Order: sequence, then C-alpha cells, then structure tokens
Amino acid sequence: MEYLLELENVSKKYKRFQLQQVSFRIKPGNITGFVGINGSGKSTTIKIIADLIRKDSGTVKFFGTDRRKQCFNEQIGYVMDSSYFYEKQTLGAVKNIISSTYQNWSENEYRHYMELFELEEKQKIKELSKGMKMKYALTLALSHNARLLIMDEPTSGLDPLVRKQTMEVLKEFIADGTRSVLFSTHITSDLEKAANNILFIHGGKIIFDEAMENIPALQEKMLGKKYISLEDSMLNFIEHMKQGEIL
Amino acid sequence: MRKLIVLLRKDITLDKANLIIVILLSIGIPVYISYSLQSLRLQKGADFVSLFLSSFFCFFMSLSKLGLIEDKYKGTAYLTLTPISRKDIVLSKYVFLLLVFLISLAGYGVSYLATPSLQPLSFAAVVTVWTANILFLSFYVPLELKLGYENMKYYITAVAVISPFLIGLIGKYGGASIFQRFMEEAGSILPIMMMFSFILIGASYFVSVRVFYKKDL
Repeated sequence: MEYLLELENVSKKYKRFQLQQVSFRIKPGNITGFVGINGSGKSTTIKIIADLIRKDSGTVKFFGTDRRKQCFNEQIGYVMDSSYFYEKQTLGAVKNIISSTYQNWSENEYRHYMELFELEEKQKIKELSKGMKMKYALTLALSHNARLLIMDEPTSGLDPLVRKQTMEVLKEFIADGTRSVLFSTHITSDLEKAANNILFIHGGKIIFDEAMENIPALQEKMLGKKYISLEDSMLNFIEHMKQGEIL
Repeated sequence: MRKLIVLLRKDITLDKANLIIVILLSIGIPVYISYSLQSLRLQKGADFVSLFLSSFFCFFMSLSKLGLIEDKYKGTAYLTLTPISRKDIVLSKYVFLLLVFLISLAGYGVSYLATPSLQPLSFAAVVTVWTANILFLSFYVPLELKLGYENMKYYITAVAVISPFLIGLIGKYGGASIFQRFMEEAGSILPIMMMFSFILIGASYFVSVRVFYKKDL
C-alpha cells in the first residue's frame, strides 16, 4: 500500500522540549486526528512535516518517497494554526499569488468553496474573523487537487457551527478513498464526529496510533477504565503517565 | 522561471505603493543633487554621486517595506508550503533588487531628459555604483535571511542615513574633484569591478540559499 505520509524516528531537540522518535503513517481515505495537550509536540511535528522547521534526525516520506522535492507540495494542502497571509491584501490578490504557484489549481473548486464559506474576493484579509480566515485557508488548501490535507489546530477558538461545517468538508474530501487528512487539535469532540484514526502525542512521544473504534478497548486494556469520551480517555492516559504507570 | 515571475509579482503587489515612491525618488534625487551641489554639477563624477545616492535610497525604501511586511505576516513561510522552494524565494530577492537598480537607472534617465544641467550617465558610474551596491547587498541579504528584518533595520537605516553625509564629507575635505579623480581611476578597473561584483553576488546567493535552507520559519 502506498502511504500518503510516513514519519520514521523523527526527532527535534529544543532547550526545554524534545520530539522523540516520532513515527506514524497516514493511509489513503482517512481522517487522522492528531491529539495532545498544549506543548505536547503537535505543532512541532506538523511544522517538521511542512518543512517549516528542520528535524534533527529521522525521515519524512510523502507518497512513498523521501520528501525534499518541492513538487510534492503540489499534492499537499496546508492549513496552519496562525494566519500567514498578507493582511492588507484582498482575498482575490492573495489567491492570485497562491494559485499561480500550482499547476493543478482548480478555479471551479476555489469558486465552490468561496461560495460555500460565504467569502468575498474583495474583502481584505484583516477584515476577516478568525473563523473566516480558517475557511479561506481551507479554501486555498482544497483548490489545487491535493491528496493530503495537513491542518494544525484549525478549529481552536472557532464556534461550533464553523467547526461542524469544517468537519463536513473534510469528510467530503476523503470520501473517494484516495485522499487523507491529518488534523491536529485538542478539541477532541470534533474528531469523534469525523476521524477514523487517532494519533496521541504527549511529551514529544507518540503514545498510541489507533483506529477510532479500537480506542475504548485499548483504554480498558491499558488503564482498566471504562471509555467515556476521547477527551476523557486522553486525560486518563496523561494521568497514568504522570503516575508512571505507562511508559 | 514561472515561479520567479510569481514571486516578483508578489513583491510588486506588496510593495506597490512604495514602488511609486521609489520611482519618484529615483527621478527626484538626481534632479535635487544637480541643483543643490552646484560645485559638482559640471564635474565628472556628479553622475556617480547622484546615481549612488538615488539607488541607495531606492534599495533602502524597498528593503524596509518588504522586510517589514514579511516579518509581520510570515508570508514567505506560507509560500514554502506551495511548490515554491526556498531557493526560488532567495533568487527572487536578488532579482527584485536588480529590478530596483534598473528603476534607479531609468529614473536617472528620466531626470537627465528633464534637467539640462544633469550629466549623462557614464558606463563607469553605472559599474561603480552597481559594485558599491553589490558590496552592501551581498552582506545585507544573507544577514537579513539569518537574523530577520527586525534585527537588521538599524543597520540598513544607519547606512541610508550615513551615506549622504559621507558623500558630503568626502566632497568637502577631498574637494569636488575627488569624485572626478575617483571616476577616472575607476574607469581603468571597470572589468575587474564587474568581475568582482558578479563573484560577490554569486557567493552571496550561495550563502543566502544555505542560510535560508537551514532556517526554521
């Protein structure tokens, strides 16, 4: 099987934090929820995948090949946690810059999402709310026929309606079974509605990488506690790790 | 090439309002200098002084504005998430600066047509100013990529403020003919200056690519 994304023993050391031997794979047709508390290493991992920060060791492969080739970005859409856009520009001006960088840019897809998210090309980025900025970032990420969508905390601070709409779009995106989403968040309720797979990181280490339906059994087996919700499960695992019951 | 055009278009879009000021400066500075420095007006070398100052201010205006925008909005980081590589981004910086130099040359041309007292631009002045600019920019660009605009703004502002005073001081103590003598001597080493500037810009580009490649965005 061709994995859309593979990380193997990826490490990055900072003064007060270390990403330790992070390994996981993303199969086609999946929404993978990348969960963990603040400072657990989600953003660092995503920024390494995006090549925004350099890893110390390990490999990152896209579509079975060692990344380094910028052309892979043609098939990857990114939605990052903060707005990286030029705030004084209009949505149309930013789109003109971004769309020219992609060979597979689809104007139809772009128009579809602009309409769906009720965005106007004449608006300036600085006039958009946080939710609208995320919708615009998602529009750009979905308009060049990407096979893999990588999102770093896109729904934090957004209202339930926008979050619901986002999850609907993601489900639609992976529907044909060839595309996937890696979605980092600490709002686990969003993932319970849409994710097929959960990747749990804590203290810079991957604690588990499991299919959503296996998590209740995993929790009962490892912690001996009944599964209530993904958030409760995440907190239980952290509590047990603090007590040194899980390494 | 397509990516380079995209990046240049991006810089021009972001710097649109500022570029108008750059164009006006490139025309206005030579005119101003030709009227204000009467002692240099008819001397050989006045074209060097005018072009040197106008190109320096054009670089200062462009680098400040673009640096500020990139520092604030991290647009470059976003662009590296598209098929544009870090190498493309570095190359576009150098090409944009070349464009600014060409604007200052064109600006001088326009002011020459409008100002009878202005000397025509000599090839020696173009090469000398080009080399002086490269000497400055070949250090500035990799340092800005490494340290960010915020840490470099004092350096570029200091150079922009000091350079007119420095030119004035040289003229005052060395006599107006110093620029004439300088241009005559520079005339004999133009091929060396050109070669030196191309080696310097090549080395600077190489260092910039390495610096930017290693940088966490």
